[in-house]
Amino acid sequence: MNHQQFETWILQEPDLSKEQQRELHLHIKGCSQCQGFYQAVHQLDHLFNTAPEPAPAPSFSARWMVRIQRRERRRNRLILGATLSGITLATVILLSAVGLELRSAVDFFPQMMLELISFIANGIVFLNQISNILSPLVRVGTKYLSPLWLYVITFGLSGITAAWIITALRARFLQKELNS
Amino acid sequence: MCNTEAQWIADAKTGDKEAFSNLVEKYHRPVYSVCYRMLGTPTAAEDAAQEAFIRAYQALDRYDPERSFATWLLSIASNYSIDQLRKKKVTILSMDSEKHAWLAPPDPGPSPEKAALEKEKQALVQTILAELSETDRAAVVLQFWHEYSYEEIAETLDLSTSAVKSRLFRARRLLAEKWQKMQAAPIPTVKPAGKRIAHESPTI
Repeated sequence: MNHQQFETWILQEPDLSKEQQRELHLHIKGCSQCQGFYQAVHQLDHLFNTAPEPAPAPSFSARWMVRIQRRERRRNRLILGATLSGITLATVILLSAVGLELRSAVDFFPQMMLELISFIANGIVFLNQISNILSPLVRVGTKYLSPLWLYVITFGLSGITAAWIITALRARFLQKELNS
Repeated sequence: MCNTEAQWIADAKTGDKEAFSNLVEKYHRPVYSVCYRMLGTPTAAEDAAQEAFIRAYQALDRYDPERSFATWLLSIASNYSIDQLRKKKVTILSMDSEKHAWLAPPDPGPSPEKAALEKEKQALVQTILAELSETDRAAVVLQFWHEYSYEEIAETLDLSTSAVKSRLFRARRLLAEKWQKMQAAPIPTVKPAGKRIAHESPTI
């Protein structure tokens, strides 16, 4: 048997049979090369087994807590930054698209602006008239009615309006179905 | 796994960092030990151990409660250390580096002679381990210092059991040969005091 086989046996010593162990030790006694290898393996095992266990500095978990919190803050900042960048980019794209659309309508721009101003002015006049009609009613109501009644009237009117809208929509839907 | 640990894991899964810090407190020594044996310096080991815990916390949803938490955690630590070694090719530095004195393991103990001896031993272990490839080193570390079975090492390093056996066999042979060479011609791990290197300025 050659040295390599005995070296293999040295590394597998705990798994060897009694007979193999006896043969190995007999060989080691007469072979300086295998004896050196045998000693090296055992010295290494001893070194590894007796080497002190490395330990971190105290407060390891406190340092971990600081680190994870810092990491999460950085992550949150990144998410916020990415979101804001996305919104900014989307706004720029939208404005560019609107700008391109408006370029084609540039000839009609003064007329469009006049129409817009006229529409806004009409809206303001309408709202003003409504306000003129309703404000005396509201003033009287708030003066003579208790808050409870005001709530009842407000919710009642809202309910009637909602019911009216729903009924109108349903009627329209039924009309469409009948037509089809 | 004890009930308290299972509860900490369950709480940590809901984002409770305090619960996870209990797990950090419980397992920081073995995790640090693996990282230290793999990377060789207290600074790198501290950094890797901290990072391993962060990765474990972030991947807690993927943790299978059927598996041992310690094995899962050490697999993260050893795989992270392997990645670090591959990325940076961290060189094993001498333990006598004064730069990291605040972190230097182990605890010096009562006598300076004993502390010096332990430091020397630690440096020797790291010098020898540096001979191994990253994966072989992880296998040796897990077997020697954490008493992992072949199956556990295989699971941790994502290898087959037979591959682990052959890697450990090869690694032990290589280490023994290296040890023999070192015995024949000792490698100085510490710069001899008093001697100055050519590029250094002379002592005034």
